[in-house]
Amino acid sequence: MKVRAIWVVLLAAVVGVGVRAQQQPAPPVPSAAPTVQAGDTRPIHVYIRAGLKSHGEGAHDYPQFAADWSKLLTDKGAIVDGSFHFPTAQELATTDVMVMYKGDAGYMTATERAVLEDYMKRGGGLVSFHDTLCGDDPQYYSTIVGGAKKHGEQNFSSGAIKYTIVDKASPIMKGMTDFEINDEAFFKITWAQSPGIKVLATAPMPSTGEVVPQMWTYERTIFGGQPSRSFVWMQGHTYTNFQKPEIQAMILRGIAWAAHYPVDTLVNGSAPVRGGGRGRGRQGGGL
Amino acid sequence: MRVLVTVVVAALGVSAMAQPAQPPAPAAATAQAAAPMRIYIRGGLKTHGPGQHDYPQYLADWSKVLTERGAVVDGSLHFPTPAEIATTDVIVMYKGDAGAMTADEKATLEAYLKRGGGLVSFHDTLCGPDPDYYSGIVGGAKKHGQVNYTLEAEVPYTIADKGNPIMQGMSDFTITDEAFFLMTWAKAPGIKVLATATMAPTPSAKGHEGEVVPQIWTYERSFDGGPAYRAFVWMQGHNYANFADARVQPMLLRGIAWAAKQPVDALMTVKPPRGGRGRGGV
Repeated sequence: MKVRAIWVVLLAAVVGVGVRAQQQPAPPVPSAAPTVQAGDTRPIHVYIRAGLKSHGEGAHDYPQFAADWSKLLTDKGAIVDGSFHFPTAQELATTDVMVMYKGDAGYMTATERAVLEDYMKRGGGLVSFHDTLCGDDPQYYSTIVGGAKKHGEQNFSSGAIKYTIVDKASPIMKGMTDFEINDEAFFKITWAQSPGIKVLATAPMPSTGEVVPQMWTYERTIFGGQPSRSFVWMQGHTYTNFQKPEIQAMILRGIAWAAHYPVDTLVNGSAPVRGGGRGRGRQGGGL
Repeated sequence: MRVLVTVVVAALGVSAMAQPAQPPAPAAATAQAAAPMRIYIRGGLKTHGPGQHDYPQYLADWSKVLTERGAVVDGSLHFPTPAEIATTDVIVMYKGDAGAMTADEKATLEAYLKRGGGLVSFHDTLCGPDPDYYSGIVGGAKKHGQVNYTLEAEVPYTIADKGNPIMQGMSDFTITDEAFFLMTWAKAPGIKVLATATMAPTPSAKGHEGEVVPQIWTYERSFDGGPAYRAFVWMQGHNYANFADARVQPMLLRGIAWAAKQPVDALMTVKPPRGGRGRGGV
């Protein structure tokens, strides 16, 4: 156990230092599909990949996330679609970032993997919360979002999650200081290698004290494609934590970052006035 | 004249009342008792003011309500693709102006109906640019853009078909919601009226106050020679809280089951959770 703790802390430190070295200041956003140009006012297209409710009251409320964040993101100027299923290629055709809050989303069919890889190859971004990164093949899924856990393993520690912000220079963590929430953390993670993750924050496990990355970014270019970005917050077991101001703002920055947009696009964004009142809706209704 | 037409339509519904209680669905169309009902919730983004037209909240809440009653639920904020509704028994639609469809979406919907897939429509789902077409889908439709609403007012229901299993045990009641009155109705077949309401004397309903208009109905049609499909419509839901009204929710659950060609009480019992940590989702 101690060996693993040391290894994890070393990994966090090494990667975190790497982040600081590489992100001062944050490099210009690489081109993605669609490319964001200066002055481009195209709204961020967000797809919320949710799922059915699981677990107890107030925990893993994936459908409530779809409801609440479809409103929040729309109010912040994004164009939002979403569902309870793995999206088809058609559903992702214009998506800039897929925000995933759905347990065990690592389980994918061959077709779904192909859709996801095509999406990433054109630079599509990913955001992953809590047990989205669980599945049957963490080796594979770690190359998607940077870290993954095996479904079925006893691999969670509940209680006070005391974050240490490892990369205060990351624009996603702007203005954040160490803080604590009540939630659930995972510790047995399969990590991506070359490239590895960039750790944003770590936390000691409530049960053992083992320090494990809990927030990170991951950038990967699938051969022949555009760079794809992932942002991971490994909490969200307790649904109300999504509403904490510091977390909500961080997530909005993480979503914008993963979409290859300036990180404050959503934090500062607002829905365009489109007539309002009666009619097909704030954004012309559903998508 | 319009009052006369709506009353005639309502009367047609009453003639349906005179028929014996709903016959059992043909064996070929009736789902196996053991198979869970497959429901697709077609939601949409929030529109209107607080507490109104909360399509995404419906998606969240009713995915739970229906799952805990044994249904297998999927859903989205968009019009489904053919793959998404390949195994669906009933699409429950709560999304403003869902009558506005692309040619591809119409083709998807028609193929689904042709195989007997059911529909449930709430509130302004039945608005769109072509009510003539959409009335042939859910039995009645309204034209988008017309001033055709009471806005928030009392909707006093008269249960027109007390013998219908969807309306079992129900008596006349009133909710605060919004009603539509300028409807394009399907012909041959027409709707079967389950409940009517008298239009409230609000400014936006001026000239239509006192009209009696169907607000809850069923519609059955065979599409291009396929097995008959079923549609159930509740034209309220402007105020989201009404979905949880103890007089409304059971009726909706029965209407969904009926449109899915299942026994109307199939969704009335909360089943033990499938439980615990795990994959849970679809």
